[in-house]
Amino acid sequence: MALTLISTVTVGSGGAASIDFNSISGSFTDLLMVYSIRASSTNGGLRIKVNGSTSNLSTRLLYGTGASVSPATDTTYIGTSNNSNQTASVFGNGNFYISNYAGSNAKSFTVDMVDENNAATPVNEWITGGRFNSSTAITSLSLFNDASANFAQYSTATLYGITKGSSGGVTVS
Amino acid sequence: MASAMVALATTTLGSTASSVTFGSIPATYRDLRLVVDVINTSSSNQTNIQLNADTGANYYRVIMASQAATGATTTAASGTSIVCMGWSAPENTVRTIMTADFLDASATDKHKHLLLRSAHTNEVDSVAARWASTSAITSIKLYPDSSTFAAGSTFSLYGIVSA
Repeated sequence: MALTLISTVTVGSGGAASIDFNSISGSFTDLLMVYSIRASSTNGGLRIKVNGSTSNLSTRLLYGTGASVSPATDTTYIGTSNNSNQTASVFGNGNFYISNYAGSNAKSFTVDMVDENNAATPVNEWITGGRFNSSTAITSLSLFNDASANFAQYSTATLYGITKGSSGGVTVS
Repeated sequence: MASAMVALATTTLGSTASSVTFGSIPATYRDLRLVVDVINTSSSNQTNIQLNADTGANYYRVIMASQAATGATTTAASGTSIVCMGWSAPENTVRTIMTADFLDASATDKHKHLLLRSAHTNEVDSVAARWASTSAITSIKLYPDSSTFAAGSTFSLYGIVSA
């Protein structure tokens, strides 16, 4: 099966400081994390950890606000989820794709995400490219808030494993 | 329960290659997803896509990019291929990842649209493209402008089944 559900995390009442996927099997080719997140603070910035660390990470971002488009660079910042100042019951959505996560080369990833609001602003759409510059296999992924705030109840994230292969018939040359 | 996403073909280059082509793609799948993790063997290389061996000026694309030296940029153009990676800051021998979705790939009543994301340490690209053909997609070719893909580069194609 090319797409395998690994795990889903749903934040309960009281919120959560992070969403963590640990002990990720190395049996897949790539990983896809799909999430829906709202911060319990006015800062909806979203960051990522790999293998429990913020080391060896770099990101390049492009974001549009509805009024302008801007570039940015960072280490662990991947975009913005919805925050507590934005329309109630709205959660920012995104997906994070990392290729060859269990291999011995540096790992590259892409992120698409958006936070949305009934008002014209603030809203942000993000396209992010990143790299985990390590030969170590990825065994855990964590999302956390830029201001160390909690994620709100009902925030969710789901991790899928993508497995390459051949179904027969399609040629590669 | 049958899977909605099927792994169709994959390759990891054992040596350098000037192109990689997925051929004999069946019309069974509504959409296709291509995942590429490559290094080019020289600098100043953009990577391109051609479909069904069409080398005519039948490709249209809009690119939005964040690039280390020039910031946020965008452009729209037509040509004989779709530039899918390294538009304004070619890969320059660093590892680049790309995911590309080919929407309604098997349809014969519409032009084909592609949505691509690619990234390396100096650039992130978002590309929306159109192949001006109503033919179903039966082959996908990727190639750098010059030189080759390095050994170890991986290419995987998946089919998405409609309900």
